[in-house]
Amino acid sequence: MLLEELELRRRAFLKIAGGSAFMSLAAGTGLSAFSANAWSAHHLKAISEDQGHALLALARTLFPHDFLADSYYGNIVNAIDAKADGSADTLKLVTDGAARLERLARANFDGQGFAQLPEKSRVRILKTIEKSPFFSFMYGETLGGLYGNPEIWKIFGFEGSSFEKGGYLERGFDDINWLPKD
Amino acid sequence: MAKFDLNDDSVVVIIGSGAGGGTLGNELAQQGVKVVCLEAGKRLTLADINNDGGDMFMKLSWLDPRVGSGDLDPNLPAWICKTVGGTTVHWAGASLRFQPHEFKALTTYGRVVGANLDDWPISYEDLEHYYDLAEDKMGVTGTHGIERLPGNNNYKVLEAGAKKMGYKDYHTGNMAINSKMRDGRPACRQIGFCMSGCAIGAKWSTLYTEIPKAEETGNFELRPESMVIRINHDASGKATGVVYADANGVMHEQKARIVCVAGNSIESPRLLLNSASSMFPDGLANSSGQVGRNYMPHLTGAVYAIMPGEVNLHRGTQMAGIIRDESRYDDRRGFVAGYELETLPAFGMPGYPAYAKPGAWGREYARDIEAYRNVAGLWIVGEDLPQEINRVTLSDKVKDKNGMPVAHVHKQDHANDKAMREHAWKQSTALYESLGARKVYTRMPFSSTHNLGTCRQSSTASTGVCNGFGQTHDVSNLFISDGSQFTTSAAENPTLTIVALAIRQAEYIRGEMSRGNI
Repeated sequence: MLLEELELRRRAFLKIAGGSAFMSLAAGTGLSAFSANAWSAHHLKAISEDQGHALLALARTLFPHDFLADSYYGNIVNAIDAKADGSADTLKLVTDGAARLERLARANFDGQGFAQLPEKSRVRILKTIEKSPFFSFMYGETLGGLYGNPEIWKIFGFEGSSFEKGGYLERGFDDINWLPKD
Repeated sequence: MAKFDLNDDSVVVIIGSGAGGGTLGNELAQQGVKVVCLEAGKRLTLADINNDGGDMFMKLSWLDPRVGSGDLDPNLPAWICKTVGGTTVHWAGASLRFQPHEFKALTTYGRVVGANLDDWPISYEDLEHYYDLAEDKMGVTGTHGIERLPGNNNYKVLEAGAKKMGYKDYHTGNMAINSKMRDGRPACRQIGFCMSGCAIGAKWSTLYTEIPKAEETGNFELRPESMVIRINHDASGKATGVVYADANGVMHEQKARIVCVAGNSIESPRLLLNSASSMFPDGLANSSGQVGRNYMPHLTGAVYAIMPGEVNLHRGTQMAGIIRDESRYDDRRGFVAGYELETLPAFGMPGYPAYAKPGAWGREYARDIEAYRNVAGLWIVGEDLPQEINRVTLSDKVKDKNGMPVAHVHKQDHANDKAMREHAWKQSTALYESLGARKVYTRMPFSSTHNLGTCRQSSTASTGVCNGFGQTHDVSNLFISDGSQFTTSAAENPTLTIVALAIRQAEYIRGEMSRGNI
């Protein structure tokens, strides 16, 4: 099976919702090299540093968790950069999309770049491109890259694989303590 | 282990190894009947099963192309399996008997505009004994003195809400998941991930129960990675064998005395339609025109609720929790038939943000995702009405790698389905709000896991495909052995009924063989 086909089918798994979310669980792998702290755009291969910062700002606008360092969102940009490096179509989708973000930002917000805008302004811009293939792509990459990351699971409380720990039988499957006593 | 010759025309060929095919195969083999079971998927072992939802989706699912239309996802209209054991590897384990009135849908509900309702040719009483046998075989909790499973956190929320709502009939379900060691399989460890396959085999699946037991008899040969393309027949209209592609795409013909189709309700009609001939121009066993029609994926929907305290709903058996009060027949609610409320397999952290509100983003949604620990959820499963327009046909555009036209699946809700879902969402929302839920997300169906009705049982040959034993009206040695034969869907999860019908069918086939009728 071609890698592209595998990728499509992985996405299908997360598309069983029937919604517009195209996600890539694959983006959740290999992220643990980076943990909290800053993210640098220096090492991007296919896209420019400015484009990288715009995509990071987009990812954070979609799912803004203030307590998460930039590196968590930066990892998604890294994954997109890697895909763009291997696919001319992806590169075009991403660079055209980032250029559109910049145009919309500078035209509507006194010449400022997308990444420099406050969240409210970024949201206004994203609402105007919500139906575009670029937005769908970024939505899927961000959802999969963020919530498919086992480091994020720990932070949000999803405990992941359990069978090797003997399941939850002795680890809190029924430990709920706030329900009414009746 | 048995090995049968391709030209051995004394064997029963069973297509599919899941709840229907796997059970039927073992039952026949135990009675001394020679069986060749052709399964499209690979054979996994327990060592292949892990707790990575994405990985298991890739290993188990039917990922050959399909076309969906109507209310279905165009690319993945159904989420069922292509693997030895079929959908019993992936199912959640809920094992409920249909209610007596559900076998008499037309009589009970009356004519409903737009629906193709009918009564089953069999009654609850006809199936009761086989339900007993099926429950015993599968080790269903809450039956035959088998203890129920303990309730997990998500169940406890459901239970507390049920009390607030005044519901009376709620418990941790009738589950084909061992609460104690039984039949050589261990007790449930509350692992979660049931729908990715049970890594310890506590959940009943034909993969490690019926199939190895059948193999031990010496009467049963399983051929994995064998995709059946068509069923052949002779000049008298009797089935003579099947043509299948092996793992390398090489075609073989296996001769047969009897052919039993159990490929799930999308693949079974696809195969009959693809077996059209000059004698059967509309497809095999399709003189009624009902093959592929009346496709019923159940009325479903889901609810995610953000509660005032932690739930950690990924912990423990996913679907061991049910409220049954709404499954009664009571048309004062504005719809006929009923529904069950069951604890939700929530698909973990990647699942919750993707599924609670597909496509949502922004600060408010991010805050709701941050509340993951506090999320409780339930799944709605109710009786959807058979409609002739909801059907499986052969795609005129897309073919699979063997050159066989893929299934085009069309489903659109009936007004009754919509009214039932609205009612279920309202009741579920009230239930969680009675416990102080901060927010409740109601959502439309996932890709369907219950697929029923496309080769239905009927008392007359003009209104359905097969009789009360699953024997097709048109071809006496051709049987329907899966959920395709359901006349109506009932409110309950279908597997127990598929297994009960398979046990009953095996007894009938054995009898008809010895009487020389088939």
